[in-house]
Amino acid sequence: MTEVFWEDQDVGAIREFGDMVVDETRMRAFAVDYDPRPVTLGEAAQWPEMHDQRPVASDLHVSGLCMRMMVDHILLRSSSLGSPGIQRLRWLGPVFAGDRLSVRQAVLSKQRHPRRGDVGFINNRTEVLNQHGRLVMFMESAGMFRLREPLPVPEEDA
Amino acid sequence: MSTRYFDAFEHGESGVTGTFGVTESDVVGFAGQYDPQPFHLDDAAARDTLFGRLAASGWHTTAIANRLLVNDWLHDAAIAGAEGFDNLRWRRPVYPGDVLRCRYAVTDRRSSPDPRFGVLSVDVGVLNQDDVTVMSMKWLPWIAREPQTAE
Repeated sequence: MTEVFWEDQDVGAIREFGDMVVDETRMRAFAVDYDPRPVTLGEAAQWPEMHDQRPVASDLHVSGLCMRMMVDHILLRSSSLGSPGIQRLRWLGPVFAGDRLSVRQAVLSKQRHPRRGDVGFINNRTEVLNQHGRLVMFMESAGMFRLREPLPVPEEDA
Repeated sequence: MSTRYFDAFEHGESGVTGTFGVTESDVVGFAGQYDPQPFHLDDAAARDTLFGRLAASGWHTTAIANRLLVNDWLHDAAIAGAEGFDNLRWRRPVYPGDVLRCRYAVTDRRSSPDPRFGVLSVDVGVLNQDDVTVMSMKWLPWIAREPQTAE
């Protein structure tokens, strides 16, 4: 059931959620499909790697797990309409099999859709932390949400 | 095959990757694990959304772009992951049956705090079979510098 609409997300609000253990089999399967490099496939390094010795998760696997935690915690019970994009994303890793990840998310700003009275944007900073509280990824991204009560379309350039 | 280290990449290097055909089972399988929102899992549930029918997760499109870039363009490069990306835009939905490819151009190359690596700035556009840009981003891959052989 939809509980969280555009109006319900306040600028400055911070939510903390998620507890996901990085599974070695899934991490490896992701690397085979989408990021086949020695260090993600668990093979011997062939050149200097950022984090020597141990196999690491693909950067995008970490992003995928972050998305899954966002979906499970808020998006499935929200009026989410998807996302137009991400302003900035940084991977600060490393993430290893067995790590426990969680998310901290702050609402930075929000605005109405310029042409649709029933849609608005929420701009978040989303951080992924490991079990030691270390920041392994952050992004600034936008989400589109339906309004609980549609409003008149904002005025064109006044 | 010799490895391409950071110094082998020049500003202006550009090209187009091979293609990746997006299947319905790929779309649903990826979404089931990483983005299980109804419009990425079920055609009927997507009908009343901005997508109109079952559409791929934006993260799936991003992962496909990564695969195309790593496999086709950087297959012989000393790539050590990526610092991140800027200005990623999911411009159009990606649907099952679409065939994607990437256009890439190196717009900058710079040192990193870790002297073993450099960072490229790469303008990436993901195109579908109709030459429509479905996604764009500035991608920032780390490339290792050639290790100095110790005497």
